[in-house]
Amino acid sequence: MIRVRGLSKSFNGQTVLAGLDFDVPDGEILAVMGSSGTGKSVLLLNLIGLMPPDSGAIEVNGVAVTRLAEPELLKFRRHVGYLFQDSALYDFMTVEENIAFPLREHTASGLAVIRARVDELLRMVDMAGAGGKYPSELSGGMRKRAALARALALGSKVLLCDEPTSGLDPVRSRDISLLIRDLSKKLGCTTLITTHDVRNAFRTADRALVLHQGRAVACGTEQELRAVADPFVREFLE
Amino acid sequence: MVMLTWITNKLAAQGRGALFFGAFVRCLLTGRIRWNEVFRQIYEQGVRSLLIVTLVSFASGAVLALQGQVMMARFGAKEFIAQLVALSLIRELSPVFTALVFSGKSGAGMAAELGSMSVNSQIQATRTLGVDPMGFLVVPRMLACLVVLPILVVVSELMGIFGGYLVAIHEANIPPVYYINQTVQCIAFVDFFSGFAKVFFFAVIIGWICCYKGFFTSGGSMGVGRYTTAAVALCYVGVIVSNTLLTKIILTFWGN
Repeated sequence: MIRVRGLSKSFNGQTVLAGLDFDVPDGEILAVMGSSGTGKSVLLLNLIGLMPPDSGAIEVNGVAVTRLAEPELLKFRRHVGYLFQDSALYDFMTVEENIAFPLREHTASGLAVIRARVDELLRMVDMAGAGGKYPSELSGGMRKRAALARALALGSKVLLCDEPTSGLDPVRSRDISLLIRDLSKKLGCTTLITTHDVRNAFRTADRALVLHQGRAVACGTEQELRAVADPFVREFLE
Repeated sequence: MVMLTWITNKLAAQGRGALFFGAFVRCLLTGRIRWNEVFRQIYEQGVRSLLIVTLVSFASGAVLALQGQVMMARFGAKEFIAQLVALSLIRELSPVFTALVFSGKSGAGMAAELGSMSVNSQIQATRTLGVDPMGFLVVPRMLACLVVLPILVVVSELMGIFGGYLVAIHEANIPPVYYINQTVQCIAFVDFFSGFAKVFFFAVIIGWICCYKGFFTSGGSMGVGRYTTAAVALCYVGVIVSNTLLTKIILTFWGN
């Protein structure tokens, strides 16, 4: 479960998050939507402890993230999968090596076990046979899928996805959205995605939260959000 | 006001650089060393710089001998070319030239590689995977510098002496055996030590500056270019200035 209370963050006097409150129950997929520059990525960086908030509390699976020091944060992050907007795969490693990296770092498994796990993850993201390629040889969609496999390598039960459809054509956007949904449900992950892609947000998520000026202006299922009278929400959804 | 901001920013950068080095030392002493990465970096840095160091050193030795034979012939001391070439290279030129070339090749490579990783979120991704980027990316590169640069300096000294040897026997008509004997006899341990001791300082300076600049690169691909250029320029200044200080210290204690 992810619990956020009173989360605030500002840069050079400009408020990006202003007392944000929300919960993501176990196994649910929540999409955080909002225009570009509304602090969606900042929210994710706060959630995983890469950026400290100015105030507020964050709890992920019972861990008070804001109270952790860097060594504890490193341990905490092993239990959270994070999909970057630009995939952030290591250029100098093949796809297989990228996926095996967290396994080599954090498990005592032998090469055969790691290889089997990598093959399993590659099949899960429909990339069987592409493990020997370098990220530069992959399309944008394949890079996202490889990054998703790496994010799930350690069996994390929390998945954070930053703009998973950005830079992809509509077909690939749909595919990656459905893949995230399928894998999250199959693996029982509590998932939070940030996006401004309304159609794919509703494809992926159980509920969506709309951010505006650092606050959650609406939260609910697609039907609930479409019934909201707030002019910003209506304009954003349309 | 602008001047004050500039000074504050510079001081903050120095402080951040010092903290970065402190984090490296802490990670080196308490963290896990990824030997595979260290060996990969040794190979990459070594291969990157070997050819150019060989060429530059050979040419430097040859030029020293060419100039030396003209100058020394004026004093009737042409037979001392071997000493001139060997001592100049071993005490001063090889360590400094090699460090400068290494900064321009491997140092720039390190800064650009880390810079590119920084702007493409790969350093952040390392953290999200629960791995300290200092231990995974910086420690192996800096350790590799400490191994590769001394090896390159020895290669440089040998190639420089070889360049001088070829010029001396063909241009100055010095007998080969005489040249080799003179070279071997003139090099004392203190000569080798006074040059070689500096190399480890240069390796730390180059590794530190290039990793630091690369690690904190921002501003996209333009930023990578800007930070890499700044890293190499700072390495040149660092090597040349520290060489002056180190030479003075070494001559004070081991002058004879």
